[in-house]
Amino acid sequence: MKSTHLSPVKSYTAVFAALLGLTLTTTAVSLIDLGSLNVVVALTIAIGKALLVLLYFMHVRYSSWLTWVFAGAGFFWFAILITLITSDVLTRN
Amino acid sequence: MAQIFHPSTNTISRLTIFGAITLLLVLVSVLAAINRFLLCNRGRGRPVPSPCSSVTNIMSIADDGIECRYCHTAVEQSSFAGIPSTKVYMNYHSQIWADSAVLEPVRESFRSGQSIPWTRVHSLPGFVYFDHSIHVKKGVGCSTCHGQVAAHLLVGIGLLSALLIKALRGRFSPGYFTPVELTGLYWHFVDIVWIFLFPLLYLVGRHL
Repeated sequence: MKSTHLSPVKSYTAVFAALLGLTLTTTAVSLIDLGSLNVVVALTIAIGKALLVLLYFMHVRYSSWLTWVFAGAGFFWFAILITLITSDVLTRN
Repeated sequence: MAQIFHPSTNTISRLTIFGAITLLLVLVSVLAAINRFLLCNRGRGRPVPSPCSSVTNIMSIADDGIECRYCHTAVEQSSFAGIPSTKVYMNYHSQIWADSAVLEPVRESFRSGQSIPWTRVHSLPGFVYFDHSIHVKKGVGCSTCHGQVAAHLLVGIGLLSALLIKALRGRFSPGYFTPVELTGLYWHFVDIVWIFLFPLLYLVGRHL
């Protein structure tokens, strides 16, 4: 657990600002009726935000390929769970 | 070796503790206000005794020591926990918040004998329901499922507070910071889960 990488505060601030911006965007988009595209847009933005957190806050970007494999496997499993939830939301009524 | 942290970090982290506590209190009260506002305004023009069913109210009722089954009497007989009648509400609200303006629809229903016109505040399809009978019969308590939803948040806040206290006492160094790393990973994991839950729970279907 000894990652020697030290990110500058500037990059954390930038990622934080990006996350806040994307949250505002996804909230704004949810008010517009795009049909089933609403879910697609919301999840695309969510995947983008999750990648930002994974790569920068969780330091995966600066880690070894083994960390990439494990993080990727976890993310893939999480994507399966979200897809199953979405299949319910999309097929209502 | 050069110092990683500027001496001002001490002041900043102390400010963070008190700032976080203040922020948490403000957030909780704002969320409670939003919760009440949303529930009160869903059924425009119709009387909705919404605060009765708001999460904060149910939690405070449970804190007052009133059993869940006092209101949800049907949970032992049917698969549906049941919505209490006006009379059951008045047993409680003739004592507590007896003059509250938001409870006027309840008192009106009690005086006139007319049922309260409920408005659905969730949008589950008709075939989705949860059969409580197996849990009730096997002795699983209500709060086993309904009461612990904030646990992951409390664990995170506890861990972060412990870390902050340890850090202020100088327990971490460039050679030893594993707890910081691990707590960070846990906290960001919760973060990622909520990045997905927020749009799915609160945003999908909002434009309808």
